[in-house]
Amino acid sequence: MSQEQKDHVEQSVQAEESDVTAAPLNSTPSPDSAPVEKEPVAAEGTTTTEGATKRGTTGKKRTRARGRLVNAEEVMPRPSIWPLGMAFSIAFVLFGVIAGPIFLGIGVVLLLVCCLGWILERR
Amino acid sequence: MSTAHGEQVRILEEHGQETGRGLNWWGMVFFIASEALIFANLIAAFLYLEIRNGGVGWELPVSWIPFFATALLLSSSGFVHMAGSGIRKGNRRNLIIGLTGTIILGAIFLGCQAYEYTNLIVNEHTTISSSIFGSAFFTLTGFHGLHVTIGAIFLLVVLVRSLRGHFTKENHFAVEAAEMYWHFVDVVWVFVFTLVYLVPLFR
Amino acid sequence: MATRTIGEHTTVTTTGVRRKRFSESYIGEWITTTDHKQLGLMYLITGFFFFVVGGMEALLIRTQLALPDGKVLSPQVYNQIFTMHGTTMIFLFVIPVLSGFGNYVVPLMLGARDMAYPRMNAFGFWLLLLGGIFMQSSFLIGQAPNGGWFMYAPLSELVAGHAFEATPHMNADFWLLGTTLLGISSITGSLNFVVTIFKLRAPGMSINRMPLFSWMILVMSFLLLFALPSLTVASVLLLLDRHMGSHFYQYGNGGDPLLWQHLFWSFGHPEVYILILPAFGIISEILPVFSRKPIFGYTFIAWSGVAIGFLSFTVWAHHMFAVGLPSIAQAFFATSTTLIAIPTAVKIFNWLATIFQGKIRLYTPMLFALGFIAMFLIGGLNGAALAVVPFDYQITDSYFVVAHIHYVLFGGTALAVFAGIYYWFPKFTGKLMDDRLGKWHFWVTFLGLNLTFFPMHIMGILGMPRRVYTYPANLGWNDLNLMASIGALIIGVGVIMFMINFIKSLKYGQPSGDDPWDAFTLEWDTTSPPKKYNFLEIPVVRSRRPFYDKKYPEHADWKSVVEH
Repeated sequence: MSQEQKDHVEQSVQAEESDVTAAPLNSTPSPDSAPVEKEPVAAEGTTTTEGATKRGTTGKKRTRARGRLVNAEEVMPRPSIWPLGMAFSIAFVLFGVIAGPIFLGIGVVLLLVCCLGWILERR
Repeated sequence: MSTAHGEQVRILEEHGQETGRGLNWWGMVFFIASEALIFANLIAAFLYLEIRNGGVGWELPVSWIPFFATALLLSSSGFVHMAGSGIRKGNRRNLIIGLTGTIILGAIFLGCQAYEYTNLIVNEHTTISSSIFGSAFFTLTGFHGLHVTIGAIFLLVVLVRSLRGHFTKENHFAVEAAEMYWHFVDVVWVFVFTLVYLVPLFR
Repeated sequence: MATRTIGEHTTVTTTGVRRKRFSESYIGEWITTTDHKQLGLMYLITGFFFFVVGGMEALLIRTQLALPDGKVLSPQVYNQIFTMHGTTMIFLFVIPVLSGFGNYVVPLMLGARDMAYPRMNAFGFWLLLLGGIFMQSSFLIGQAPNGGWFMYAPLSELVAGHAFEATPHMNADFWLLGTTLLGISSITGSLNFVVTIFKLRAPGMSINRMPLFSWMILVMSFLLLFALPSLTVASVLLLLDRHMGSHFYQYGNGGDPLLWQHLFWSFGHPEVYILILPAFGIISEILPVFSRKPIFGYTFIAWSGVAIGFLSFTVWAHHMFAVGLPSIAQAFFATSTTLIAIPTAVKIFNWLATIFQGKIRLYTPMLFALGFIAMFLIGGLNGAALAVVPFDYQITDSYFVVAHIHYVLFGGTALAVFAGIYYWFPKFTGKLMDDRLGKWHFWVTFLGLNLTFFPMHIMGILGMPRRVYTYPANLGWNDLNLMASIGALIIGVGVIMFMINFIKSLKYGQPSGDDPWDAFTLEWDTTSPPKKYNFLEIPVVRSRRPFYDKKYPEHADWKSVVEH
């Protein structure tokens, strides 16, 4: 996505003898979320762009090799409250199955809320 | 444990994207495999009880409704395929038509099932507690109906999102997942239908 | 849709003043975390907590049985206690602790930054915790599950009435719903493991360069994915029987209680291997490091694990020899059960060959690993004895079976879990555990477990049925039972020593440095404890011992070893 624009400056880096075969790519794959603009932070975070082209000896087909320094926060999954909410509501639904329709109803509502929260949350 | 701001790490070629199939695709495949095993177990239990009872009382009054419903469900697979292949080519119109068609057919299928259930319970007095056949029949088809419902809700969410233009040629995993799930539900129905409705006809 | 809630998430780090988010407060950080390491620790802590709970239940059982005609517990409570002991240990201790190790260590071993689905990972953990609390809370209303950990129908069908509301006897419901919750948790966990292992390996780490622990976690995850549906179906049918009036397990109405046994054990036997395979993995990591040799027969260890996985789906009815199966079925299941001994023995011989002529360093993890091999061997051998149908007729559902399961699960898995904790504790905390106290812990546990579980073989052969409430004094079981009860207390002392060691080391432990054991695999190729992002730079792998290669480039494996 938006990396292409800022990764033009390529400096070759003499790192140690690793055959790192890296290409710039964005963080956690979220093929599912639609037209997502990349966070504006990335621009500030990735001021240093380094790349090194090396050969891949690892069996897998890798052609170009570039590494990119990014903010650690950017590649790591973000915290989220919805897993707890979702677990709680599923427990509630199952409890409702034996405890009676009222609990079941509350559980289903909770579950829907948590599903929505989970889906709508930006990763 | 939190990361200090500004710490930088080097990212490599993105994991999971090298061979074309993304992480979520694999996750969905294994999830469906596990779901399939649930049905395999239910079918095994159904057969076990049928054999144990020597097939006595193990059939339904013949009716055209299930056959009609089956035809609908199987043709809905075509629609969902149309939706999926549409968005893979970037054709949003096909996506929306396909999804709508699938959901409508799925809803009619569920309606048929509801009609069949009511008919059985009210007119034939076959309920989940009336006999072992009732128990097995309602559990197996009910479980399938539940999955159709979940699949239809899934498709509905996808439809709403596609009406809002969320999916592109490259970015449409939710459509793909819904499509996979729907095909799975269909394939399961082929087995369930054969076992519950077709086999007794040939006995 | 997805773009709606970005507002508070785009943390602009450059703007200086910024309100602290909930996920940055102390509690918020724990309950909103999606970090595999933090979740791994939470799994481990939860698992250990339930280990203590289950251990106390075990001590109650042994107190009741210490002397003949014991009346410490009432029969009703006793039934609940032994049921919950088994359930707790299997579903709430072993599986969580093993997934805890898996969560923490597998991404590090593979050179990944996190699991494939971080939020699902957190979801699985919370389901586990809630499921565990849900099950144990049944004690509060005095209706804990009481049908034994395999909940045989039709005993578990007893309800006061078939109504869609809370019945006075909810014991089995707690079990069924609890295991369903734990089942969902395990499914999400294993999906995560499978996809992580298949897709997130560091460059160069082909599947046959993966550490064996990851291999075993992979097999375990597949077993969970394909075995748990049986339990789910069995539970759903039982719930329907109990609440909707269906007849699946009622003989009189055309149902069959044996259906429960078939469904349950076609989950239950793979489950046994789910509990032991990751333990094999832990041992296969520890032995080479402390023998200063590469693992012997990597391919055999890996593929024998896979073979065990496949075979485990074909052996379930060996739990049911006494129910009157046709003899052809008995022959089949006896054969397949015996077959499993082959891949298991392959593993044991490979481990022995690994330590053979190695420069053994006898630190606590190694001690536990060696103890594991010895104890697991006993458990494996008496398990193979149970596959012999005529013998099984004699001792089925006796204390012999109890001895077998405890040699495998306590002498096997629990020792491996302790080995893993001692081994990876420096990774988790950056500190070493006290080695002297650790060795005491080992020897006390070792003594206690043999004193507890070995006499049970003899009790079983003398005819003491499992789950029996009490026994008269003239059957010749008195001394053996007393011995077992004393042994249980000794194990308890061992656990207390472990807890002291753990807390003490957490506070005052020696700093370990990043790589205290001079280990071989990637999880040590980063700081201890690792930063949130694990690796500054994702390492590149050229052999099965990537970190060894890095430390000793002149002897690097990839220069000499041919890997297939």
